[in-house]
Amino acid sequence: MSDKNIHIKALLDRCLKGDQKAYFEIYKLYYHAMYNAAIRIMNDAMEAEDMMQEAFLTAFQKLDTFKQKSRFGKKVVPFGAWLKRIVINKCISQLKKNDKFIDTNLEIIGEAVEEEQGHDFEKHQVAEVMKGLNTLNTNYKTALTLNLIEGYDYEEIGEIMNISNQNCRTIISRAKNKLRNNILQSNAQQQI
Amino acid sequence: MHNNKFDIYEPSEGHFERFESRLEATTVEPKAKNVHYTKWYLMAASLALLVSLWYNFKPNEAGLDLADVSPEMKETQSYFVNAIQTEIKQINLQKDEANELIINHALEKVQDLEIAYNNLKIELEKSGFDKRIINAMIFNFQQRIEILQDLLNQINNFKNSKDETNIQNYV
Repeated sequence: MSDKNIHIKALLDRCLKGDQKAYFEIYKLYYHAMYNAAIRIMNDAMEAEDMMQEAFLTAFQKLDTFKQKSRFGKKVVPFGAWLKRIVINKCISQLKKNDKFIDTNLEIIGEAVEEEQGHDFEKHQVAEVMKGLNTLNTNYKTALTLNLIEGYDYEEIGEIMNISNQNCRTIISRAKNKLRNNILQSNAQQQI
Repeated sequence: MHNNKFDIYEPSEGHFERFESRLEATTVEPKAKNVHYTKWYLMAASLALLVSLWYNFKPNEAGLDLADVSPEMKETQSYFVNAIQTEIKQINLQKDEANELIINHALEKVQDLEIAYNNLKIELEKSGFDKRIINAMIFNFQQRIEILQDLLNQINNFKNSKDETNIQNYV
């Protein structure tokens, strides 16, 4: 275990005992990553902060269910990943409340996953990709953000967004195409 | 925590204070409290006892077993299980100080495979009888039997060589 992990474990132990200072220390360590995860989905600074802070409170309340040690056959989840999952779940249920999340359509999406042309999103500027993501509809944007930026796999995204694995692949593949086209288009416009 | 290059935003000013006041407003009640530890241990112990009793009478609850796949698989499984049980019995009969170490080592390996098998059971249920998982389960049984057979051979060889030396000494 690295020093950082030991430090976090000690803080979490203090949190379990209800130590206010430890709560705040954990917040300081993680707010930046969590806020960014939230705002990428929410698109709204106020709401993103609200969801992020609520996630922290929920995490502290349910800290006793977070396992720091591995049990037989169970993967150990780092605290940050656990917390981020809470943030993302909060954001998505908020999106649903705001009616920005379109549940319909999703199931109609056919089987056909278009062949992805290899495209290196890495070579684009961060700001460019983020801007491109914002041109997509909420479903596409959420799925693609979870996949490309947060690094979840199809199965996990399906679970988070409550859609089938197949739909998830289709959405991500289409969203990628759309994003690529949007970015290339806006680049072309800038050149003119 | 890791520096994601996409993490380019910062919450608006005063978020620390806002969080602090929210933290104070909600009573965060973590469940683990030192005072109740002994009580919890007792409860956990009695619960564990109950569960282990229940488990003995009603094994294989989590996931689906090979036997759930088809009648043929049921037969296969009971064959494997019987074979493993008889072998373990035989091994335990021959256990003595000299071979204790290799026996324990092999039985540990078998236990590891059992744990892996339990995971496969869960996978089997999740995947809806995926063929690859069924094959993995059969392979798992075969491995266990192989380990036990190897062990029996080793024990017997060891015994024989000892007997021979005894006879030689005697002669």
